[in-house]
Amino acid sequence: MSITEEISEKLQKGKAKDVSALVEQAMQEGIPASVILNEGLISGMNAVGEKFKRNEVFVPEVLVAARAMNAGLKILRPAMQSEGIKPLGKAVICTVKGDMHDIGKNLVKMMIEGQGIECIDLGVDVDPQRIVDAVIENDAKVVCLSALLTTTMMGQKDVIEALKAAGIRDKVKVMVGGAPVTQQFADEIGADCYTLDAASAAEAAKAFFTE
Amino acid sequence: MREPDFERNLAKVLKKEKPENPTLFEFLLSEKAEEVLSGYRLKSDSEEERIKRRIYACLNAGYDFVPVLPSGLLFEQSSHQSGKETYSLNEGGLITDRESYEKYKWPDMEAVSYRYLEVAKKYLPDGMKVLSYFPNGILENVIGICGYENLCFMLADDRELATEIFRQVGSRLEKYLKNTLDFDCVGMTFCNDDRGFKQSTMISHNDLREFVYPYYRETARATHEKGKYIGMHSCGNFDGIFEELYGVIGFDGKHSYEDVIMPVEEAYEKYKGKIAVLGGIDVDFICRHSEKEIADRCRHMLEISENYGGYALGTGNSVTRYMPLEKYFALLKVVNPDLKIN
Repeated sequence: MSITEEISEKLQKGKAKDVSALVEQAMQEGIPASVILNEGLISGMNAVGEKFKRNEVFVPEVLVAARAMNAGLKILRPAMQSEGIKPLGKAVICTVKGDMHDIGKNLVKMMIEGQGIECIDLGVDVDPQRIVDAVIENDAKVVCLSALLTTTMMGQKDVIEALKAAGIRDKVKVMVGGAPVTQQFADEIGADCYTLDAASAAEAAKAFFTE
Repeated sequence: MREPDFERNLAKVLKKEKPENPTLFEFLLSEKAEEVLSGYRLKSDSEEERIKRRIYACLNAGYDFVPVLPSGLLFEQSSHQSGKETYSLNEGGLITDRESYEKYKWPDMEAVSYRYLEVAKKYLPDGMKVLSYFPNGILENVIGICGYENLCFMLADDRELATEIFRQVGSRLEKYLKNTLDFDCVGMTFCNDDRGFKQSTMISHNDLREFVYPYYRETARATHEKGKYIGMHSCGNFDGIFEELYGVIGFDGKHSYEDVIMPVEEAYEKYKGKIAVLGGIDVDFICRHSEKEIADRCRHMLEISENYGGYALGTGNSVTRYMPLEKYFALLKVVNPDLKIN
């Protein structure tokens, strides 16, 4: 087994200390940061996402894997900077106005970061104008909106309207998700994407950056 | 007015039989729904007044039972952000490690009183029984005490500590519900514990089996030993573990269904005869459809369950504060066409 495969495997098991040590070792062996990132960390997180989609692992295992990925990234980041490795792009993510739920949002964020995309996390209960400002400020290409309740899901539409009013709707892809959200609702409010689970959301986000 | 008759209606549903009359089931009603259905103005803010109002509301609506929280057993948790209608499950974190566990003050079960069951008994009409339930379930309380993400990390980093916390909560809640079985007015116990979301359960199936289900299994055993019934409420997707709810734990009925996971019609076809299907008309469907559409779906649900039984009509989750009351009443009127709203 190569060292990057080992990194991927330990990451999938959530072994943060092992991942850090292996990343360090791989760097010392002269393996390029891009290889460690793509074949070790991102590959491991992709595998976790696939298992999550198939209900073979659960949210706790995803969180622990994401913690291991972050531990590895912390070691790798200086090398990534010297190699000029940049994220695929930026996505703004939040839970909409009036809604304090953050577990689904955090999960999607971890999965998206696992695809090499930088996430600007605005938190929960976020005003539409703040989202518009963040998109402009960060030149984000994707906006991910979470809502858990029937009463707050309309907040996703408010954000789309605010993006239109700011004249930037065609510059960003809007992804929506959350317990009451369906494909039909996403179509009704004019969102670009709805997915059933966090791993599929991350794949869809990646596709927006690579298409 | 529809006369309540727990034994001939809801008890038969819970036995997976055909009830004498079409039967209603609801776990939680909003304050407004209780107020309007009961036509009763509270004389004070006491729990006795609230229980009285709930009984009047349930009687008028056509239920054969009334949910009563027997006492104020509470596990200390971080207070949620005031003024907000929703909160994050990551709030909490009173126990994050051994040190904070040692400092945590667990509620004294000897100090728990069940006086609200005595109160309910005073006002309970003939034929109506009490459903006794938790002040939040085992997983809900553990999440409230630890915070969700903290708990997830604890399950990976310190399973002994997680085991201890689940034991402290689970053993108390098991005892709490078992104690309510001594009251004649209690017809059924209810394990309300939100353990899932759209895709799956909040913790792994194996962790549910290890940390949560043993306490429910024992509560179910004790409930059946007393000749009573036990139901459960949980949102979320139980695919892969649903069969254990009745086959291993022994729940008689399952409440909470969501169209985005499995519409109640489909759940009924799949599980009829195995576990009673309680409620199930999706909350979002009720909020977003016309009264006629709601009534049509309810009638259809009663039709498909008419031969087999084991079904009671109700919402998929609860009568929420934001659910338009006329839409909830459209559901009630399918079973209780003479419903009078004061």
